[in-house]
Amino acid sequence: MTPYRTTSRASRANKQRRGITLFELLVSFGILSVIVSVSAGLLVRHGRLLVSGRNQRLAVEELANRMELLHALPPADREAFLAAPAPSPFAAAHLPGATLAVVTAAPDDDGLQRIELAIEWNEPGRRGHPLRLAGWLPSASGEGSP
Amino acid sequence: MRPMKRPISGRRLPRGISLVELLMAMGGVSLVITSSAMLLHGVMRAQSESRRFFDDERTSARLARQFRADVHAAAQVGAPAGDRLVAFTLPDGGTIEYRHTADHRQIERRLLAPGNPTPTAREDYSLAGPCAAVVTVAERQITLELGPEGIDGKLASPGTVLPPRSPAEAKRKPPALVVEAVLGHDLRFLPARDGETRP
Repeated sequence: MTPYRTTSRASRANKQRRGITLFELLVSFGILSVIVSVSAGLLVRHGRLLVSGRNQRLAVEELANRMELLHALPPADREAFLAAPAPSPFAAAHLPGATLAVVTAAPDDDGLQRIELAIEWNEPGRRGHPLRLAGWLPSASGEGSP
Repeated sequence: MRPMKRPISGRRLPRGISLVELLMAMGGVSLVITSSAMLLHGVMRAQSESRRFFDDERTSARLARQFRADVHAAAQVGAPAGDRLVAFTLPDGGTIEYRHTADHRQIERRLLAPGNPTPTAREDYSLAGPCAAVVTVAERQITLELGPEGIDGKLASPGTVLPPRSPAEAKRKPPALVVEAVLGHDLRFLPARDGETRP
């Protein structure tokens, strides 16, 4: 029997509440815990965002570096690279599970060949959506400098 | 005083709160305050950390782009000397120097006009913490590498993990950048191809 439960009509009408009920306490703690858990989730996602930003920049640099390497390689080595493209040791160390792919097109009238490098790595939403860089290199059979 | 003396306690109104209630309320409130203070601290730390991180990332990207463009435009490359990482000679006789400052937090790019020892242009690439920078020249392939410092101030090798010198450093991600570029790659400085005439 709680102190508030009185049978008298008068005392029920002007009764004063002198505290909070257990139900109110539970509701307030529930709301608080929801807020804290949502904010903690945001902090975790913030950490992932930093990693994702760095991975993106490293991947862009890696593609540019590989394209430079392709440009510098003699034709025979270039064919070997295009047959089995592999990311650099630096990218392999920094980008988890990085894989490099190459799409080549037939040389155009200028003797330049379009080469597209694509890199993908282990990140949610990244597999199947590689980062691509296209370059035009003189075809292996053609002569002359770019 | 009369109602207080009444034996049926259910009828009387409480005139205060008990010690247990007070302690419980204080415990709950302190829990709430502690968790929100921790959350606020975490949010503020995350904000400053991400600002520093993305500053470094933007600086790295800017440096990579500029370095690649300079290597492509260069005709010759000079050896490192002192705090000078590398020097490029442009086809018009000008020089571009990359220097690593003494505190190892900054890379400075200087453009010197031909025959003029004072720089005509400077550009700074400042990083949040000290880092090591190495430029290697293999024939026409120039490589710039930026990474965490080892014990001797040189670039730490990939396998070694050095203990952080401060708690702030433990949380910071060191810069990681490798730029490979081929010398004299810029089409503007090459002779015209067969059948083409220069404007």
